[in-house]
Amino acid sequence: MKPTTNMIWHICKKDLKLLWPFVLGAAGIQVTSAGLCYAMDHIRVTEALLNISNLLQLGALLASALLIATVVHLDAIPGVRQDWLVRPLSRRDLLLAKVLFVLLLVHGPILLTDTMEGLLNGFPVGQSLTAAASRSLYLLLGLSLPVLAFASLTRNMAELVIGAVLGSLGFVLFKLFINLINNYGEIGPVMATGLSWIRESTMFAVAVVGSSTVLAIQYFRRKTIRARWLMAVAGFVFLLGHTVPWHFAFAVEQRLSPNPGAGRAITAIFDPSGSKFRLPEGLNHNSWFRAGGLTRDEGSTIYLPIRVAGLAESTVLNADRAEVLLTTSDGKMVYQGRADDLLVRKDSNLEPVSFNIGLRPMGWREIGPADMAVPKNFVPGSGEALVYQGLPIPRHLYERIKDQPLRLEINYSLTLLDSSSYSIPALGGDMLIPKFGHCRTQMDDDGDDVQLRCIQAGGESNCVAFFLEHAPSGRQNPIRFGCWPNYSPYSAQYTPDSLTRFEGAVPFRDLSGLAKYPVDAAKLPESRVVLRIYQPQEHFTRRLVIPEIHLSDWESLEHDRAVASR
Amino acid sequence: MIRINKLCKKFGHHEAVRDLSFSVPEGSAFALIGANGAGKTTTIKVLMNIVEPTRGTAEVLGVDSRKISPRELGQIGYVSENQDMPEKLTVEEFLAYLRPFYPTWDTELEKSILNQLRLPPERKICELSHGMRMKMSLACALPFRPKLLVLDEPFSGLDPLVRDEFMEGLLQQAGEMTILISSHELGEIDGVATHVAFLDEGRLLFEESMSDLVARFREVHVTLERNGTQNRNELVAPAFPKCWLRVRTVGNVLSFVDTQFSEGDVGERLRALVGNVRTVDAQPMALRSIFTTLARAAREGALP
Repeated sequence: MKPTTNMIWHICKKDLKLLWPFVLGAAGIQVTSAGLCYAMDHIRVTEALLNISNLLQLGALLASALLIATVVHLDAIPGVRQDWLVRPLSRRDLLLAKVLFVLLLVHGPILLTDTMEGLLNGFPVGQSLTAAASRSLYLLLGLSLPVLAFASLTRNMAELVIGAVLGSLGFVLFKLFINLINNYGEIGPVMATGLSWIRESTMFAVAVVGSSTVLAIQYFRRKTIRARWLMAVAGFVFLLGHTVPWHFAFAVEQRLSPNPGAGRAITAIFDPSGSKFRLPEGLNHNSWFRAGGLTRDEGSTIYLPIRVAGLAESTVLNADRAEVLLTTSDGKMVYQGRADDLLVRKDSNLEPVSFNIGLRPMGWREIGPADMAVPKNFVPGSGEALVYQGLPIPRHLYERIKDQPLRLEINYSLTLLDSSSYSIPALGGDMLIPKFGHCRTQMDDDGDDVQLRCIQAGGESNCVAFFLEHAPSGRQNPIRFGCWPNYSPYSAQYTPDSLTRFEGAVPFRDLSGLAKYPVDAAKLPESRVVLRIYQPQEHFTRRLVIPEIHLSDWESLEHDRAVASR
Repeated sequence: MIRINKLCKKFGHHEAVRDLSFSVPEGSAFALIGANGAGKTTTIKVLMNIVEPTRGTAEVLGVDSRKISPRELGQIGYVSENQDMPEKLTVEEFLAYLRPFYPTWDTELEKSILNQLRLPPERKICELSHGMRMKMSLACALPFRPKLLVLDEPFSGLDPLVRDEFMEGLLQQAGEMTILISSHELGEIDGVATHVAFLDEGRLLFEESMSDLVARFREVHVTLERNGTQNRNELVAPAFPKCWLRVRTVGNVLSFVDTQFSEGDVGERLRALVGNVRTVDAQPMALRSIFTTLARAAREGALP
């Protein structure tokens, strides 16, 4: 017998000989998709183009999956008629040949196009290659390996499709079941938070272990029934990954804090001297929202004034989760639920402090100093801020307990994010920002905004703030701020490529003529866009306890009534 | 070369092979015969480790079939009517693919087999007729001069011309190799097999050398004296030996298949059983006739 590596290559060549048109087709879709993504970064994107791009991305993934399944089916494992069963080929070689095929001919084109895209977007070779390899690894573990395992359980494409349909049906039923017991909410507590990567990694680990075991059973033992059962069990455990408990996930995250101790000085205390919260324009006590299993009824939401201290300049304090517990004086629990996803941004250059109210899944609002009725006796110290913690309570319960003396406890899971600032010319700017990405600026078609477009290779931003600044005078336009926490230590995505994109518009002119900006069109040539990129420093917890409170004391004021009563 | 001991194979509740035991001597051409569903193909698939036995063992080349490694498979040629080959490869491409797997592959022999079987090297496997595919399967099984050649229903669906070509190809290369052939096409096996095993509903009915089998089976026609005391009704009686199958009478002629025929004492035994015998005609039987006689007897539960 010739050396094993030769045989692996020999089997792989046979598969290529049989599947080269398919390989070319899949690679062609991949190249076209990547080419279109690159083009869309540099041209005006129409909706039609966006739809085509989305279709191509989906097509590229589907073609990859079908190619993997087809190469496995060339030497199918189940069944008794396959020629390979009676040939003196090592089963290990056969498996490795299939893996080699997937690596070279499925992931090769993906790696190549992703790297090319990174290079064409101005990233260094190392960074482009790392980002591309990272996505390729992500796809390998999260898509190719499970497809490889799944295909090894079937004889042909018909069986695979039937299996996939049954699997999807199982998934839908599972989701329906979870929705039913979860009041149609997000599946799992870490969903749509910066900790979502822990859920994803858990599910990935299950997928990798499950798929590898199925492949081992199939290629070395050919126990298809056993392997199918195992796949079903692995699929179920995979779905259970959604339910990673919050406290476990946050404990993991705390251990991974990049700068432990950075949030040591931060405190949050209830400040009863603060006045009642005034709802921003557009919200009143009749406002009612429901999304992701969460309900928010402004008529039964109270806002507690919280004095946050220890915040450094240009930092963000994000409450990843705030859990509230209400008990009566004799210790009986009356309510346990989620408080608002509070986010506090400290920025002395512009608005000293602003915070968000609401719940992320249903959208939230940023409240600036102009919206707040800061109490007259509030004298903020260095790093201090007065913010309001929203606490939505079910209406029927609220009506029953609002006048009772209650003990209130809020348990915060917090993340402190610090920022780095960069500036780029307001017009025609083109800059590679280290550890962030390649950013460009240009005026938009309407002539009222400066468009900021950034492409990142292998990096994930969490929060970004940007504003226009006139360099000679230091005048600044209102800040734009966006936050989409993702504390993942790795960066990868299924689609569209290894790059992540960020786009924002910085206004300098109000087309209606009502507003006038400090930095207007005339000042643009001497202006720059200042970009603040926030990254997590520490994840930590804080507990806030109010020994006795009457909820009705902290009902919000309605904006219109408040204005009318002034 | 092959040793099977108390082999059982179940598919769900169906027992395809039951307590099967036999051995295939080295250098023999061993025919596994039986009707459709008798368990021939299942037995072969167990031997090739394509399916695992439920109970019992099967040894091939001295190795438990469940532990057959590429080393053993490199010495076994396998030809089956149910063999899925890569359809899109040409004959030449598939042979080229197989070559490196067999250290003993003889390219000259491969060419000569291709010529002899008249296989078009440039034609894709999916474009081959059933007969051509069987020949292709044989062409893939011979060039490495296997120690053991396993043929599973190789003649099924072949026209006589292709059968002849197939058999010629096989016999020319047979040499010292051991052949295990399963078939119900007994005419083809007749001149080839040195040993035979007969399976029925998963059970082994007998296993012996072809010469012993042919020697002990005779189709016997006995002409009785007309004035004898026996009439037809008396003749068809349970007193006949169990080794007589298909016993029937036409006029004063008694016919049966003797499964334990011995040349010397036939006249005496007959006289003792049926009285005055005028003539005894004992004809050797073709394998096909032996097979059909046994198959019918097995169905009727009349086997000795």
